[in-house]
Formats: sequence, structure tokens, C-alpha cells
Amino acid sequence: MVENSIVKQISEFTWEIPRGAMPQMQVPVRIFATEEIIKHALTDISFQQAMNVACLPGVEEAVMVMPDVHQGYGFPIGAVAAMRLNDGVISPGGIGYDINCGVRLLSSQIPFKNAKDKLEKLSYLLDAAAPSGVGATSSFNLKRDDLEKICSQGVAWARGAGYATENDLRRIEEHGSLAGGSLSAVSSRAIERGMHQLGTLGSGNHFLEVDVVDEIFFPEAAAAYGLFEGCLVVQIHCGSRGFGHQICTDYVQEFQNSVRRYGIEVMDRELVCAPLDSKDANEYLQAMRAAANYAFVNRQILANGVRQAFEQCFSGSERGYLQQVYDVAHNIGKMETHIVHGIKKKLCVHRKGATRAFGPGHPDLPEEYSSVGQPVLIPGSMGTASWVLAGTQKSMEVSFGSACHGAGRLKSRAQAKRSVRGDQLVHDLAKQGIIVRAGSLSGVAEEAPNAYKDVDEVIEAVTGVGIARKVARLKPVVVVKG
Amino acid sequence: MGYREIEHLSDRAIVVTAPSLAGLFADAAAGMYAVMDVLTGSETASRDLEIKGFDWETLLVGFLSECLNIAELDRLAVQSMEISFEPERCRARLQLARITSMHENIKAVTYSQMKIVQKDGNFETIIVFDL
Repeated sequence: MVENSIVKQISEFTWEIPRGAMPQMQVPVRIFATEEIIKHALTDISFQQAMNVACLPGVEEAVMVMPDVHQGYGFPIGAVAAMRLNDGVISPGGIGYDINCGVRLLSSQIPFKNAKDKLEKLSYLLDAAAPSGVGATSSFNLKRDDLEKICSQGVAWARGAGYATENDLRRIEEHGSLAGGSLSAVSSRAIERGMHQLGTLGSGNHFLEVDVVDEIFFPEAAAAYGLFEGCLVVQIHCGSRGFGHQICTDYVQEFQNSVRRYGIEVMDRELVCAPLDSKDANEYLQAMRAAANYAFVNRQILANGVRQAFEQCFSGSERGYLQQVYDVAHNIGKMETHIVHGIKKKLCVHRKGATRAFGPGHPDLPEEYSSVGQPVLIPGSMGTASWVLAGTQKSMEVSFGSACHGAGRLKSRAQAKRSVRGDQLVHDLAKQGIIVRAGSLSGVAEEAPNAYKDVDEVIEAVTGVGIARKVARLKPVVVVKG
Repeated sequence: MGYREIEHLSDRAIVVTAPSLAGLFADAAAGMYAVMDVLTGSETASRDLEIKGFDWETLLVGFLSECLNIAELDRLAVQSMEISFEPERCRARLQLARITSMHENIKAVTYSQMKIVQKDGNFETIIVFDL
């Protein structure tokens, strides 16, 4: 574990581990956090993991650590590392096994007070619309030709197949399609796993949640995003399922050889990587983008099911149509242009448990969001608030256009299960007006609210440093657990 | 000897100790199934595996990843096995049983904290599973 003394406070919410803290470090580690969050992070190995990332070749400026940081494998969760294209590397472990795990937000104009009596029915409909749990498989009859198109076209394939609207496409990071995704760089094992899991939620911390817009802090952005105080919205949190897991597994294994071949020394074998200008990197990028496109489509199919559930539950209500607010990835590697010390640079930005948070005026934003910045979707834990933030100019200047991705884990799964029983938690949440549908009560206990940090403190840190701005706080009313 | 689960903040981890490398691989598979909360029926099949890798860790991750795949795709778990090691590969004959229930999903077997060491005549390693 890292000693307290090497973490230096730079300003109220910014801390730094200097480059010299370990001889192999190429850049410092910059942490956005409150003092309390720093104290807690020092009790696990997350800062050591960030220092290990800072040793990778071609890493630019600093490894950024978000306030929802916690220990991961290779990279800590809540980390951003931007690599130069000429001398930098790409690390599959720095993107994660659940490639393009992310969040989608849909908004309605249905007031909670009018919907209250229908939420029980809605919870069953949503549960049926989102196959979840261990080994959940899809009823989707996917053909290999479809999978090829999904991997190369992303949500454009779903648009053609009738699962998405033009507006959906516009309001997804990269319009739901990372260019260059190809099945040709994907193993037969991954293809086999991918064929049966499209349109499924999975398990673990994945969920589908109905929330009420509890409070609005930035009315101009809320209006642009279509968020109305007191009305229902839906969050969908999931990723690329077994398809992405297998792709990452394959390339972490393959890159064990690559680092030997290229003579790259890594501090942790989960950080294995390949030079960005190598054939190995190119193949991984094709496969990673294929999985990212699969994940965008997965959330699209689930969103389609959620819309049908809403139509069935609130039939005849024009206000019931669920508009897409946005869809963001928080485990991803992207080629982006950033200005570093006044110089425009194209970089490969690894976001591992971190969300893109582009500020106002960025050309990649839909026109209607251009004046307020990109929606940044921050789910809290089950039973606590979630947040909608907006990207800022400051995030473009100090964090490679990135912010946090959630509350961040505080207790291990075993500790969480020791602290509360799943059935008791479901009962307690019901008393708070939150309906929980879950296949596994043990899984519910693992995701108990007290297993996570206080999301409001995480939000205070990111908004305090200025890399995102509060738009709205959401309060859960129905949770379908994966 | 065998495996025991250790605390891990975000994922699940086990320590495996065995008197031989073959025993370490078998106990690692048993530990992984315990994390997955797998229950099995009677023995139904056998399968041969060949895993390539340049050291014990690459072989172990490759072997467990393949067992994970067999569990997810074929709903089969290893009941017993014979495994032999050659330079840069291992070969295993697996006796498999039908999985009747499985309650935890492992996304991947990671290299995080993995280092197979020989200690007091035993082989030992930590294995962290991404959940």
C-alpha cells in the first residue's frame, strides 16, 4: 500500500503522487478527491496500481484518478491514462474485461405521482424484458452475418433492424459505432459466447433502474436533455457480456507474449500491452471496437424492451414515450484529440471505470447539447441517488475530457453479505418505496448500498474540481438487478 | 492444502496450495467452481485440452479460462483430471459432470497478484477472478 506521505495536496480537490515516487514512473498520478476519499483509498492498493500505470511507455501528462477509485486488477477502477500514438501502448487490461460497460439514460414525461400505482406491474414487465442473472441467454436468434454487422456498424445495425430511432443514434457516444470494429480479429470462442447473449443484462452490478428526477441543479441542461422534475427516467447499466470478456481474456493472454517480444517491462501482468503502431495493437483495437459496438447494441436492444414495457404499462400516454438522453461507455479505449500544454495531440485514452465528459462546444456532441456539454451519467448504488452531470471545459483541460463513473466500492462482496441479508435488504428498500426484482438474493446483498461510497461525496469532488457540473439528482423507485 | 477464499475489495480471490503443480491446477479449478457456487450431477463426458504458455502462470490462466468457457457454454465442470506438463504447454484429460446450478458469474481469470511459488515443498498462488 502507498504511504500517506507521498500523496501531496495540490488544491482542495486535487492531489498528486509525484513522478519520482517510483523510479519507473513516466508521469505523476493526479487524483481528484476529498480528503476522506484519499484516506480510504490508501487502505487498498488502488494508488499503487495507478503508479504502475504511470510506468507504461508513452503515457501523457499524468494518470488521472477519479473520486470513485477503488482497487481493480492492473488499472485501478476510476482511472484515465492517455497514451501518445508514436511511443505509447494500448493495454487490454486498462480497458477491462467488460469492454464498453456503460450506462444509458432514457427520459419520460410521466409524473411519478401518476405512475406510483403502476410501478409494481412495471417492475415485472421490466424484469421480463431484461434477461438477467448468471449465464442469462437471449431469445434473440442471432446469425453470424448479423454479428458481423453489429461488430462493424454498432447501433446503425439496430436502426436498420428496427430497434433504434435516428434520435437514439445521435445521442450515443460515437453515435453507437466505433469505426474499425471487426469480427476478423475475434476468436471463435468469443463469437460462440456473443451469439447467445445479445439483449441480456448479465449479473453482478449490472441493473436496470427506474428513477424519479428528484432535483434539478442546471435547468438549461436539464431542458436540453429532456429531464423533468418529478418525472420518471430509466437507467440501463451493462456491457458486452461474454463476448467482451472473452476478447479481453484472449488479448491479455496474447499480450503476455507481446511485452516480451517488444521488450516492454510492466509492473503488473494485467498491464500487458503492445505499441500502438504495432500489428498486435491493431488487431486488439479491431476486436475491442467490435465488442464496444456489441455493447452499444446490447443496451439498445434492452432499451427497446424497456420502451415496450412502458408502452404496455402506460398505454395511450404520449408522455410515456422514452426519449434517449444519452449512452456513455465507462470501460473503453478511444482515439481522441486533446490539447496538452497548448499543443493539439491525438491520444489513445484508456478509461477504466471513468466516463467521457466533453465540455460545451465539442464537435462530437449532438447540436442540442452543444451549449451545455455532454451528459455524464453516474449511477449510485441500489437505494441511493444517481446523478446526471454535464461535461465542462475544465474536464477538457485537466482530465482528458473525463469524469467519474459511479459511487465506487467500499466493502468487498463478502463483507457486504456479512453486513446484510438479501431478503432483509429487499424488505428495507420496499419500506423506502423502492421495488427490487432480482434472481439472486445473495447478489442483492453483494450490491447493498452500504457496500459503496457515498455517491454525493464523489459528486462533490468532481464538481468541486470542475470536471463536471451537476444537472439533476435521480431517486430510484424500481430496481431490476442482474 | 487445497484452496481458501481471501478478501478482495471489488472481485473474488482465492489462495491455492498443493504439493504438486498438477495438484495446484486441479485445486485452482475446484476453487473457481466454489466461487461460482457450482453444483454438479453425475459424470457425463471427458475432454482433452492442450494449453500453450511460456510459464506456469500463462498455463494456469489459459487452463482456468478454458474451464470457465466449458462451464458457460457447455454447462460442464471438471470432476477429476490428469495433467502433464511439457516445455511451453500442458495437456489435460478432463472428466466432466453436468452443472445443475451456478450462482456467480466470473467474467475472467486475471493475472492480478498471481505468482506461482514453491514454498516448503508446496506450490502456491493467489488467483483473482473478475466478477
